[in-house]
Amino acid sequence: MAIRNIRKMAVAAAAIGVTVVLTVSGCAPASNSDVVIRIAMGASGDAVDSNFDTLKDQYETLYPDRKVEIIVQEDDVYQTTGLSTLLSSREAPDAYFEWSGPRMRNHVADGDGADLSEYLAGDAFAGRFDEGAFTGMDVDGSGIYMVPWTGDVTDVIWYNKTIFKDLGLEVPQTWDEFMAVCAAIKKSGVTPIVEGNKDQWTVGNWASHISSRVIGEDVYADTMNGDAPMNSPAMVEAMTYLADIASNGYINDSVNALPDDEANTQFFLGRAAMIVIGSWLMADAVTDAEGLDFGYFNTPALDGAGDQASVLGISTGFMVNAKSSHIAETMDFLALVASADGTKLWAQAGLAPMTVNPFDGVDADERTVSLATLMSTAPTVVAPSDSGYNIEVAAAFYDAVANIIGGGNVQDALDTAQKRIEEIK
Amino acid sequence: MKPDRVWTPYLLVAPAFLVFAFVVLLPALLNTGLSLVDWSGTNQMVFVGIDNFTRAFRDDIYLTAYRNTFGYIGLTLILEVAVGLIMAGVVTMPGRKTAFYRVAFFVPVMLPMVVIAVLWSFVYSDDIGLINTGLRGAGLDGLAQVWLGNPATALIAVSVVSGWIYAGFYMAIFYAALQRIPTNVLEAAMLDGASPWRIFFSVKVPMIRPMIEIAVLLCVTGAFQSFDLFYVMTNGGPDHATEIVTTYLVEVVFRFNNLGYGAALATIMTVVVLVLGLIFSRIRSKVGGVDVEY
Repeated sequence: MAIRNIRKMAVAAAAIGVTVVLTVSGCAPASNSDVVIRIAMGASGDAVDSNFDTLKDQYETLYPDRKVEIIVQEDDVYQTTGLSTLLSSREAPDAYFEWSGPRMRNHVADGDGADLSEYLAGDAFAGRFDEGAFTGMDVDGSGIYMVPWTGDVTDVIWYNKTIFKDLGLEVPQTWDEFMAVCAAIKKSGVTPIVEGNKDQWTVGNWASHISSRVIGEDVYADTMNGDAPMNSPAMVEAMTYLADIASNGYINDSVNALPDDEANTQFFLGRAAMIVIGSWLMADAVTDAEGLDFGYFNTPALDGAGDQASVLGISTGFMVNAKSSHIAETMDFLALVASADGTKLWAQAGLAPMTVNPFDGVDADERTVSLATLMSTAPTVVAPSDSGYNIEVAAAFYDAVANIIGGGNVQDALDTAQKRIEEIK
Repeated sequence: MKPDRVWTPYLLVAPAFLVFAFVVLLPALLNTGLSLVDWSGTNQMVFVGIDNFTRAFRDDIYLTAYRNTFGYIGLTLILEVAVGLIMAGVVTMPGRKTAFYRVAFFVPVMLPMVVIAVLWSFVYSDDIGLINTGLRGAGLDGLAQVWLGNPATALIAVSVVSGWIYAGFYMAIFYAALQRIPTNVLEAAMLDGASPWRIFFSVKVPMIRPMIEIAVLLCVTGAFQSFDLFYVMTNGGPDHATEIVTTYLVEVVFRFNNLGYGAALATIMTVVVLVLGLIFSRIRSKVGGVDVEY
């Protein structure tokens, strides 16, 4: 009896031991000698996410003693709490997605951004970028702090070609024509514009573009830095264009309650004729809008002091954590991202890569190519207020915009924003 | 009996005090220190004195967040505590088989908050939502609303979800308390001819008053801890109509990278919650804090 018990215990102990060993070995991401590099980003659609997995496999084949960990967070989370939490964690990312401009400069000021000039001048990146690709990626000439990735046109007006064709509508060239198009669509019983402004940046970006067109780019920059009044007569005039959209019922009633991705879905399902959002819509459309015939046009010309052909856009890239122990290894991965093969992947996924000749030998969607051309040939590129300027001023402005598109009074909304900006200062 | 050594009581209290000091006192003190600086989290700290506090009292959004929080407290006292009490009354009515309802009412408490928030966002959806579809189906198109996009209805809409979740929780508390009431008291009331509702309001409710007071305190302090429901359903919008202190804190700290100001807002909130707790305690002792023993 005792021997049988001892045997049972021995078998049980062996089973537990084997289970523990198998579990531990199965969970182990890499051996002790392996270098693990962590790359963090917000989600950019399934096609883009799977491309990063492809590059990770390539990298791990090229460098068998290295592992890549791709950290993808929901986009809004990444922008707000996600990245800052990751950067302050013990396992901070070695490289992370970021927009050029103030967000990038803040990371550099905080000691989280490494100067990459030396690496970018090396063989791995030789000839991959034109000089212009690095615009907005330096800090007062002290160095380059990003590996350029994509150029995002931050807002264009996407339209359902079938609805336009059925109603005999042409792409509008002026704001008056645009309003006439909206009126015709509304009359047909279709929602002219759908927007998901729950997080305020979608209509906020469009309002940035409209205000830069009306008040002029220089005054716009001053306003968004808090150096010019938000409630000036010119700003009131600019925001009245948006107020007209709301008062005429040309936008979905749920504009301030709808998340941006649900608005995209409504557009893909043909429930609205137009949506105003950035070039990244193409990445979602690749998987979610098969069969939908749609195109885009830039915000039509308004009456104002700004360049009426301007494009609202911003470049993106990957910063490398200055505190990383594996900067060289991380740059090897980013070299793959910027390589000819990497570029093909991004172009096919509907993005507009910032590398040279991004669409060579790629069967890219013509809208993607056209958007990249729009960005690269734009006479003036304006940054959205939440990406290029003071973030708290942008928040006050976007509050006002949400109020206006929800039917609020333009002057009151801008007065409130100005009061808040004065408190910030 | 007096302890042999003078320091024995202190020694016995020390472990609990150390834990309290480590997880509550020390962080609170550090947070208060942080509120006196301008700091993004990684840059050089700059001492600014009480500037962050004076800014907080001029900050319209922060003050609006308090108004919304107190509005939320008022609504949840009804939708969570009062409804929970009535539900407990219903499931303890004699002669009714209520096991199913007790479980059903409690299920929302067990679901993850984010799941509930997403689920109810669809219920409130303007075009495909259950509520608007039902209203339109009943020919009440005029009553259909953008529930979460209208500043007039958004806070109420979120509070209803909160009520849907926590009414079951308070029902469970009250149910346990009601079960402890001696049956002879209830039988005496019945013999006197009291109706079930009369028994509930005139006998049962007074006898579980201490539990109701605790529930009210939990509801009030819980409102200051709310975050995920608001963050997922409305993110503080529209036009800050559902901005509460915690959602604004997250915006200040993580979006604006202003840790010093965020720490000041958190310090003020801590004081507000403490003051509310003290007021509650004072009121309780003044209006007769003697618990009914049975």
